[in-house]
Amino acid sequence: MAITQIDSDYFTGMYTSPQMKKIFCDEARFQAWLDVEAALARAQARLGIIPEEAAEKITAAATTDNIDIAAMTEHFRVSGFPIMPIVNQLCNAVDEETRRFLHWGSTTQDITDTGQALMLKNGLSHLEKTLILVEDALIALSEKYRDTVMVGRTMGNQATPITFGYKTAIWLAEFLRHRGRLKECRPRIEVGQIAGAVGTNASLGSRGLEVLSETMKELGLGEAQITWHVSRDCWAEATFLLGLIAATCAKIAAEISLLMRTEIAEVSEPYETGRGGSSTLPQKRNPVICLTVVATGRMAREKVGLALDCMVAQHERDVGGGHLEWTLLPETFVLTGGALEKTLELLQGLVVDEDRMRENLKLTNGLVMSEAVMMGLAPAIGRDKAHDVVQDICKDCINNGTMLITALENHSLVSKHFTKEDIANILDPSNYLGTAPQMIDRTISQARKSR
Amino acid sequence: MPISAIDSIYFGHLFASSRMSKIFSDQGRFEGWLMMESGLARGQARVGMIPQEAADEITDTAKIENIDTDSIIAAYKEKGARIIPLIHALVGMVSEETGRYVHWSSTTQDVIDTGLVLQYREAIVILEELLTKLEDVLANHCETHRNTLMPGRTVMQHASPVSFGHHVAVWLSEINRHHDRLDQIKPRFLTCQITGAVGNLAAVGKQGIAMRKAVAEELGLNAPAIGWHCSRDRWAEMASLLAMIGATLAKIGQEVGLLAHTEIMELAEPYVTGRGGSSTLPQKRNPTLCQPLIAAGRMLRERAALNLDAMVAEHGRPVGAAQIEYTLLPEAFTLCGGALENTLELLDGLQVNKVRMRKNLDMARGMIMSEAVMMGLAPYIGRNEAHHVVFDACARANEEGLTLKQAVMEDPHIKGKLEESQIDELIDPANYLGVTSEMIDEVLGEVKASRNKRAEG
Repeated sequence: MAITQIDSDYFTGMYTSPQMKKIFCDEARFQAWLDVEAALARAQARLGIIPEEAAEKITAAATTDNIDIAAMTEHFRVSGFPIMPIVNQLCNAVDEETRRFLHWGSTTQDITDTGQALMLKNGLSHLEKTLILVEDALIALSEKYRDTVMVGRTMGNQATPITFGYKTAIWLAEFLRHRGRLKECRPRIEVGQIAGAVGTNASLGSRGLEVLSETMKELGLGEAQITWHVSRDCWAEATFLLGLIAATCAKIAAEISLLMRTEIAEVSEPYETGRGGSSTLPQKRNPVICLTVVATGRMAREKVGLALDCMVAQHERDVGGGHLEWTLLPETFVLTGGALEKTLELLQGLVVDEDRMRENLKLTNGLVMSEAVMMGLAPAIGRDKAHDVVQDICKDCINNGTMLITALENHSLVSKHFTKEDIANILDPSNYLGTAPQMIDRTISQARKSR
Repeated sequence: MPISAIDSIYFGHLFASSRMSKIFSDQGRFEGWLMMESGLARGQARVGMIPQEAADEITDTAKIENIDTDSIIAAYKEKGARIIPLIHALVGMVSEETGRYVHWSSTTQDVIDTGLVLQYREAIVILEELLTKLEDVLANHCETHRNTLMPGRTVMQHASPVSFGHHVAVWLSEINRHHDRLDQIKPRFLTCQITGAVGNLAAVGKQGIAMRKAVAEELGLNAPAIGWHCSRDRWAEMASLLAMIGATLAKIGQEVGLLAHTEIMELAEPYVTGRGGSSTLPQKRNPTLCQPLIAAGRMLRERAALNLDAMVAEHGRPVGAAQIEYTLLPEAFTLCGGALENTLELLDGLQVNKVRMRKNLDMARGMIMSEAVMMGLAPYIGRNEAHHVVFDACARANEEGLTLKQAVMEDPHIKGKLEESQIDELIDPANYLGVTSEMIDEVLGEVKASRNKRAEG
């Protein structure tokens, strides 16, 4: 049984993406290594470096069915280097003649890096698909609640009105930028390498670049201008992207957990019987998705620091950096993928209490509209004077528990400039939304255009 | 199939201690929770809060072999409540009467926190054992290599001679301090959480304190003065200690890795055929134990930082803070245990190449002894003047390819001040180890004193 939240049978469902786990598990890694060895052989055969027949046999044999994982792991414990054992296994699966051409001119890091690049490519594809689903959920929320007025809060205090759709459209805009970033960095990340021990491809004579090029074509990966054995910025960039996405998810989850506090209760997680129950307080409906997404966001953040460590690599192959990367990127993909899928579940089933949003807007006896009153008075008496007048009115309201509307109607200066109907209009939160609806529309239309 | 560094079937052995892994498996976690529930029942029976027969039956039943773990895993996945599935299972297995008293007045976090502390207690035993073994191995190297000369290096450059035993004694002193820290942390850390939903034990009224004390005794843990659902400094302290141990071991791994460079070759990892082979360069003996040590040190560092996040906990139970701890501290123990085991293997079989150390010491034609010559000359002409003179002699030696001795012997400022025999004595590295041997003894004494203190309890 496993220990980490990623692999624990008990916790994994709460934190991780099952699809990402399939992409990044040990078995997928072994298959990726085998795919690289086979592609290398086919490329070398095409270039006449090894016999065509050997490449065919290597390709046919390169499946995990032919690998004795237990024996290979035992070999790794002795050798301390991860590729020799799988090359050995593959040797056992082909005839003696073919064996001679396996792993021709290659080095451990060529296989681990290119293999991981294949996994990253699958991971990024899945991430992109999930991002689109999250955008869809946010488009739906932003449209549905475009005009649903709720209170805007700054530093924990009620400030002025917004709409719930405005809040979700801001989330949408953030995710759109993430998908833009993903598109931009994919060509840098989905790059393999066939470079040999110190990156010069000396073992392939003058044919190194052709082998590199043909192998990458076989694998559907890009090729770099020069070897990146100790130049890890592109993978650090991948970790950054994952950290950014997980942070957005954590922000949304934290916001929802705040908005579902007992005193606020404007939104809640999707509920089914027994969900989020306390083991002792029978009344509770705890946020359960939010907790895990907030935690996952923090875990993903820490991976970013580690990715920067990996960039500080010595000589032609680092001591210790590769060991970090082998597991760092898979873990981050699984965590961020999990955070994103949990966020999707949260957004798709989000329960929005519009009545409660309206009720909460009334909590301050209308004071939440004070800026609107000030700006209404400003054309007549100047902004500065209007601020003083309204501040005095607010103070009276707070001290005496008066409704703002009553105080305004009874105020000599205010009533000189405004009728009761004017005042009611000014105090209507839906008249003080500024350009929020237009910004929502712009964001949604950008989301649609980006498809 | 697994993914993480710790659980990966292929990479796991590089990072994880298998003994720690066993403690912190899901199985171990459930066992911790069951121990907590039965300790709770026994403590409550002792203060008359629940019937003794109920406590007995709960204790007899709350065994991992009685639990259908698959079904509680499925229930958690569906409902998102961590402890309820296990409580339901336990209630289902005892008599109806006893079932009424299961998880009496407790709350999820009490079970999770206390269950983990019970697991940590087992892990600490392993940690102590590994630290003690490591101290022994290091002490052994200190004795063996007390006078094994090698170049001391500062900012990557030769500085002046040290002994390899001195090098190791510095490591030993650091490890011994970690062990002392662990002794000091333990009473704070091995504290149970019996506090109820918001920490005031309201569900049991005035009997709360007496009940907590009885439960703590049943579990063999300390009782806290007040609940710590949102006060996580004890665990953060442990995560920091594990990260510090990880950093020391990464430092050792890095040092061995550097001293094993082809041009230096003063140390080598223990070699077995096929170990550290490159998949393409047949001559290579790459470091294989050092690498995961360096990586594990970094992984531990990140977990300590995360545990500080968990300390910033709002209200009576935080959103997304505890969830970090439940995974990071078990992972940190497992990583730290793995790193200690790797270090033991590394140092136990460490190959120390004395000949090479001596060769490296002499490689700059004696230049590494310039400070010794300066200090030998200082009584005659003053330290400042001596620095100028030896500095010039070194420059000349470098330009003309002379040894330090030749340059010094020919120097008009030195001639007549120092005899050749004096110079020979000055440039012998064995004579320039200062108080190395005494400090090694001090460190060994420190380790002994800590052990005596520990034995006295």
